[in-house]
Amino acid sequence: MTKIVAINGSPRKGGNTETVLDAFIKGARDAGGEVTKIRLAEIEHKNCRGCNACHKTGVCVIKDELTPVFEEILSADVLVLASPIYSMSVTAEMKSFIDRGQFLWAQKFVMHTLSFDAKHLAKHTGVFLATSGQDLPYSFDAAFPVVTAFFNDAGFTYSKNVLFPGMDKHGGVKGWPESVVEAEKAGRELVEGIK
Amino acid sequence: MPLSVLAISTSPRRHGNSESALDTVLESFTGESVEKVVLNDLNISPCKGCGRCEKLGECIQKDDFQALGEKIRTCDVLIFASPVYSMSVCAQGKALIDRCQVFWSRKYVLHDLPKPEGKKFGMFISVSGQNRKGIFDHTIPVAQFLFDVSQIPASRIQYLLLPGLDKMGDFKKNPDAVRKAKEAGENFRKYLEDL
Repeated sequence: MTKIVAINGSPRKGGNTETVLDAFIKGARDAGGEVTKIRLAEIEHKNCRGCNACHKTGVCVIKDELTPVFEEILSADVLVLASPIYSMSVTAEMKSFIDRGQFLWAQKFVMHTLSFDAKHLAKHTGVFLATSGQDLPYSFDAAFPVVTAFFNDAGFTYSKNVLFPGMDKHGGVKGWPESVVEAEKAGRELVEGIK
Repeated sequence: MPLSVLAISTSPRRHGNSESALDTVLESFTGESVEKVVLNDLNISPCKGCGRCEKLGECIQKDDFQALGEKIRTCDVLIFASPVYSMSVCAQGKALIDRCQVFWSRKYVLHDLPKPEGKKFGMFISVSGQNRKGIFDHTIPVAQFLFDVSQIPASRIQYLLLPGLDKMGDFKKNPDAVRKAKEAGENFRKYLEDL
């Protein structure tokens, strides 16, 4: 069974991002995927301190509710990072999570204790699901490299974007029911594609 | 009247490279009214995305943002320093910038953000560990959002971007980086005096 972990970086419960993420998850479950959703706003977590202890030990000195989340992610086949665009990038919640992933980077590039071979990467998929209020041609551009960094460090091949720009002009998901249909289809097709 | 200069260091690491670059720039501003804020000493929660600021013109979350936000709004010169973490500003900086959504709401939704008394100017200082091309490209748009909602137009933003400073103390050990920071501070001061 395809194991999917979905990280929701939106602080809003039932907002646009969570609604399309839930639709994506429904599609993935209908196709037989096993999905765990984690709302970052609900779990107690601290920001990376930049102490660089992980460059020596490979582990983060901070132990909090994010610690087991990283373990869960490393055992998943698919990682979905979901965030609305705030101030031209992912939310502070999502950024906090991604910065905390520095220990993975340290394991890969400093300690050389973590590596992902081509076979692993071919089987592990990264999906970025995002919404933006404004409908600018570059709405997501500054967010892509941020999620790319995390997918690379955690051993997922970043191969799919599920993007919903211009939520404001649509009046949110309520005024844009097609976005929910599209997200559900993307979730279903993802799992079917893996089978 | 001396200029009111607000300098914000976002890095969680005290006296690290971005803070040291900021301190070097600030050496050129003796005689002005300079306040340096270390974000890590403050308690600023992430934006909840509740959208209340679009109606109220203020943020419903009461923490250290209120006082700092007021300083951002009223200063003449805003100098914002951030390291690049995972291809963007660090989570601490992102939390502050996301909270500035209240200014976005007042500027673009409520149209009640008071015009600054004098002309406002900004400087973005960023330091990255890696040296590759375009390393700051996805950090700059986030900083530009901050300056825009702080009523500092793009034409009045200066940039000091220092790549390849990774380890603690790398800035101070790098004469070229120190010279660039000194010159950036001197030039900025001179630019403000020549107006």
